[in-house]
Amino acid sequence: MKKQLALLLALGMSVSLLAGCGSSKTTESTQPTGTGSADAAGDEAKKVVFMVNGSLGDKGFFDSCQEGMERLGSEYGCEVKTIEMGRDETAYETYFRDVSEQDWDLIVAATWSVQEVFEEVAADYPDNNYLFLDGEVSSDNMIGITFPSNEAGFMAGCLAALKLNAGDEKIDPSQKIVGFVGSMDTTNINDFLVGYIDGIKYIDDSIKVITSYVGSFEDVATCLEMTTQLYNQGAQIVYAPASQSIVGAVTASSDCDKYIIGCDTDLYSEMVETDPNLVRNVLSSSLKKMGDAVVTASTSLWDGTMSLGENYSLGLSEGTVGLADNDNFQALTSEEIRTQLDDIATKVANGEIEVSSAYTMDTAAIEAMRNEMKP
Amino acid sequence: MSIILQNIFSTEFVYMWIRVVTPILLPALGGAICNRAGVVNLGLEGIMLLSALAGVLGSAFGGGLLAGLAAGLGTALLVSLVFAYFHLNLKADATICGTAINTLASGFTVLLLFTITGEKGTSASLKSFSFSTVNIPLVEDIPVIGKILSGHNLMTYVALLAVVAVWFLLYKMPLGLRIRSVGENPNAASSVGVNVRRTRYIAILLCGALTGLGGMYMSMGYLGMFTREMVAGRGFIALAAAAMGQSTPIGVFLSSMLFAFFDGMSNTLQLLALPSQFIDMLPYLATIGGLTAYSIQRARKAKRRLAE
Repeated sequence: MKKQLALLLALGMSVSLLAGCGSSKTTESTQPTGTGSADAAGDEAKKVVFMVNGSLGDKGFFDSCQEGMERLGSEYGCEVKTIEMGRDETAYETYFRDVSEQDWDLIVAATWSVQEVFEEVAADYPDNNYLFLDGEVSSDNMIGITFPSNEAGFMAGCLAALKLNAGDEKIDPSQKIVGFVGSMDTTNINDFLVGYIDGIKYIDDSIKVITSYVGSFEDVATCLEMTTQLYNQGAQIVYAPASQSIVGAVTASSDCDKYIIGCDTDLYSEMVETDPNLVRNVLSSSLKKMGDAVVTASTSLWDGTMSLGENYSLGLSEGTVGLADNDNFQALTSEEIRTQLDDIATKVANGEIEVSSAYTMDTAAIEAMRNEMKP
Repeated sequence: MSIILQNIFSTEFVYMWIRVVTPILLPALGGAICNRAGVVNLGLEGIMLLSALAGVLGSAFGGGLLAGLAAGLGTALLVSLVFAYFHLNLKADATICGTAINTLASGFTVLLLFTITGEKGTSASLKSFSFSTVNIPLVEDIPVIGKILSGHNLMTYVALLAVVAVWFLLYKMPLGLRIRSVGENPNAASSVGVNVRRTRYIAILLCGALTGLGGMYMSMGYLGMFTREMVAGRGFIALAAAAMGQSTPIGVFLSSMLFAFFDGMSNTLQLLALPSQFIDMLPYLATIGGLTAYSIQRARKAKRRLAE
């Protein structure tokens, strides 16, 4: 009897834990301040909900989106709410249906892993408006926003190549190799890679690129080892679109005393106060300013410059993609490099330079590109 | 092929190998002690994660490494105590208790991190302390060997010493004999006056301490901060290493080294023209292969015993 009771208790404990995880909702709602420009939001305050597939705190993509949501709340007087759906993908549909039943003016979700279910749910609620970030959609009540990761990668590639050729005491001029460490071998990560390679080739096509994939978004230790391997194999500068495991890459760059370029978040500015030594070799970070995109897309929809059923690409020309400009970037790059980079950014923005994209290439083509760059 | 060999026979590779094995070896030794006492501790992964966070928080708020060590170890022991109480006193199934710890750890660490730092991903905003690296005098001057053996994190040396310590405990100390006898045949042990429950409590706590050290190595040695889910399955690989090494210290050491080897290989092989998905599979393939070899061996042994 006692044993059964214990079993039941233990079972109850684990079930409640599991349930606790399943519904790990954190809601942060900002009340309309009223001081913001209410006219941008129409007569009534717009209600916007952001559905995170995962959780905030990634120091990247979602945190950046969240910053945009907060701005919608404080500057545009919207009523905003963020729901963290966790990693259980089977629960996403229920979440989407729940919010679709409520009276939100705009429902926001992001990344390819929710795209299918998000579109399915949107089709069942034709009166709602949906905003999908980081992908193209084809429903009449949705707006799709793509961010040219390849443009972000292109800028990182140009920076890496320019810095490598400019030389430095931390760069071995006999090794014309740079590295790339990605979280997963998937199209969205490879879009960075394709742009990166294009950027390097644009500056100097004798530079080789070695690539690694962590195979996980969270395994920081493996990311550290892989990045260390890249440096050991001769990479002088590594570009790291490695999601959360990027801190492993940064640790490796500090241990090996080699340069690194971050991705999606301004690593240097985020960590310089707590650990300046750790981020001393962060040249810059390629940024996708998701926050700007969230604000731009929402307000453009309301003022009519963007319309439902369309897809828009927000890149260098809109200022939503670019390199992080901070003290370290200023200190580690010369005036000449910075001017060149500005020049290149303008050329990409006005279409003078065309950057290849992983979305229009098949797996074999990407594979070939990757192998061709190996030393 | 020659590039692969060149990579594997480099000092950097062997150095990395030792570094990669540390967070597997420590919990694997702990798991081995538990196995020996007849308790399967599935909660290694969770204990590692919890103590990784506790170590960082302890050192950040306690203002030193010792405070971090105390917090990390304390947490590991506390969680182990809860596990032991549920399993031994309330007779709950060990698998359920272990799974509960793992599930709790993955959610609770993020909750705690968020409550304290306001962030859900990393503890980058906290100034925490790390175990230092140790350069062994004399040894560090020996060519090749010095580069491989010297300059590791303190915890790595603790892990290697722990192999000897666990061997000594299991085979040279009365407690070790009791632990083994309790695992082999609890009824027989009990009939000669060994307190089975108390012995298992001690085994679970020892396991907790070793696992806690492994967890702290992740956040205070390998890396200088805690990140969400940073243990990333190492607790489970340790469990497999303990089983494959037949819960003997030397066996556990060797099987941990084997898993770490494939882990290290996957870091290196990617740079060659092999598909990354295939390479990512290698450590797990080695786990399955190892476990298969282990069970075939055990089945044979059992057959032989039957034949006798």
